[in-house]
Amino acid sequence: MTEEELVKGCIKEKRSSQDMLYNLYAGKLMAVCFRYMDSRMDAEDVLQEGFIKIFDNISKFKFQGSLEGWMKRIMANTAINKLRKKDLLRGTQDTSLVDKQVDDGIIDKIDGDKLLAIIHALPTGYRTVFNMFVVEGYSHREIAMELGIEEVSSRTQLTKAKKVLQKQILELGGFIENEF
Amino acid sequence: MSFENKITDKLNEVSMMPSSDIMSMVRKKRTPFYIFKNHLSLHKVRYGAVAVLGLLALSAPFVLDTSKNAETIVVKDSGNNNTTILESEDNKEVAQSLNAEDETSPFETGTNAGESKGDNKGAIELKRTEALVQSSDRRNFSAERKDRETGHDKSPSKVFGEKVKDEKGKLLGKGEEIVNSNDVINMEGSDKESELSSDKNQRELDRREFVQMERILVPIANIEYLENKRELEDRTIVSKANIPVKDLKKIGVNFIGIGAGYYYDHNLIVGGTMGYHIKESLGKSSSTSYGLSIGLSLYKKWTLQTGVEVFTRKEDFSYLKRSENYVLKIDTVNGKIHIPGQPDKDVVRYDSTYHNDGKHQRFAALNKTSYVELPIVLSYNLFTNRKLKIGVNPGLRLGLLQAQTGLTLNEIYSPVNIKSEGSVNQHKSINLSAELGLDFDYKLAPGVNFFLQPKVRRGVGNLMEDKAGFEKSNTSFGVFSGIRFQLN
Repeated sequence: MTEEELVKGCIKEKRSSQDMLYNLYAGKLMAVCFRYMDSRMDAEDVLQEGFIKIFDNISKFKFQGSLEGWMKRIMANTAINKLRKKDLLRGTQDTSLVDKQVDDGIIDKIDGDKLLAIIHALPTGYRTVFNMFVVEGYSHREIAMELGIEEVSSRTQLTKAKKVLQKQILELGGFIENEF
Repeated sequence: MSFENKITDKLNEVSMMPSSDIMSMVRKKRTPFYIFKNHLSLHKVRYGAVAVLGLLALSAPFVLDTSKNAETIVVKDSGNNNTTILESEDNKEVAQSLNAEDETSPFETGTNAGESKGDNKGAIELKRTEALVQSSDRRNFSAERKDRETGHDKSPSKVFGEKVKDEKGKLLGKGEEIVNSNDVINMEGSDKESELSSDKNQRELDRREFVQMERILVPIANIEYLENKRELEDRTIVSKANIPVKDLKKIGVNFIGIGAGYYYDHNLIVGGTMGYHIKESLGKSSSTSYGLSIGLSLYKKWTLQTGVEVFTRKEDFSYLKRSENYVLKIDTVNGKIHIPGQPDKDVVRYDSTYHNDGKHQRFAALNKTSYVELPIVLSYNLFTNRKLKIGVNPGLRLGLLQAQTGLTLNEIYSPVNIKSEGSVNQHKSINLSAELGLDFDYKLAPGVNFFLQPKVRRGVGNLMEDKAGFEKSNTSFGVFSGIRFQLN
């Protein structure tokens, strides 16, 4: 079944098409939700809400761009909407930050799950801004508008997030290098 | 590759399945009612279109002037300002003469085609002029064609266009133009015979093409002389491109249909007033309908079918009026009995009631009522394969009375003209009927489907204004059939 047939089936509310869509993309979409949310349970809530939105609005998908990208955007927006209600800066804490540059080779050695775990371990504010800026491609102005924070705060959060992430990656990378 | 890009790529590959059954929770939340509500909010535009169509149908009686008789024509004489109403025969005569003129080919007949009516004045003259202009337009194309073939450099518009009217637009005799047309023929004959023979095949192809084009162009009124065939083709294309198919698709229309129907009616009249009662089924009643329909996809297998139909019912009916048993006033002093509406009778027996067994009055009439109807029919698809679709169609239709002729009954159930002033029991101007039927849709060609809808219709409530104490109901059995043009 092609992607187009799948979408058309979902538009017609065909159960088989909906199941197929879910089975194909639920894993990747769950990862998106987990990147944003504090807990697995929250991520599953967002996933559920996101799938409802996907099925409700799938007739609006016009095959301009990938279906996966469109669905990830819906998930990310759903997660951001949930997070907007929270005080994003509450989780920010002083962390001993490092200025050391991360070697690209180290990132290659880390698998995606571990990277996801590292990002998930970031404080909510750092994590959200990092996800929005780096992964979703929002500008700082858009992030500021979406989250109701100052543009400067967004930049600060991102800088701090990157530093924490680099530190974590370096630690993990060192561990990996020692292993081999 | 930058740090950010590497991280993004890595994260995009990550997949983790949720622990709980999210899909069943999604289904729980998305109930059929929820889905329907969502569908409504997503397709406001198409429902808006339905509302607009509804309004159009409702406004139809105000747009259609029912006072005009199709078989009469108003003719104004511009010379003495007199107005004459021609009855149908005259109308036909005028139409026939116009048609005859219009169909007259200058290349075939010759003279006097338009002179039979003598004085070309007023409206008739104008109509003829229009017809002749159209006719001459066609001839212009013919002439152009001939001209091209023969290589004659005289513009066909000069041959015909200017000869049809003078400066004031008044029609001139047709003899002249026909002479000119013969000139063209003569020119054709004398000019370039050698060219004709050498290019025979090509010309034959061109001729066929031209004949086809002429057919396309005939209905276009007041068409002007066109420079060349290319322009002609462009115009034709433009006129075809005006159909807003894309716009219709955008609002969710998935087909446009045209059809006609025939119904057998069962009408029942019941009532009782002033000592009389009727209960009569009307025989030999049939209805016809024709109209346009459009289909809008709603949800899953549901489609909304609406449109506009003209529904005409003919009733060849007879009423049977019977007298009931009376409660009599017996004048024992004078030996008379008083019966309502009748002369006093002598008392024969001193019973408490008087019974007029078998006394009844029957009369017959041919009634005709026509309605503009707005159907709102939901169609549920039961079966689909590559060629055939079968659905069940429950629905309602709103009928707006357009015309009624024939007889009705007054308060004492005597026949009166239904259109007479003060007629108490006319048909209601608006009525509602419910219907249930099947929808067989067979694909004839890509985008063209044949449909057949056997159905039963039942009028809701009394079809008559309830002023004389009787009710008329209607049930129709029939088929509506036609062609649908699929847009999706």
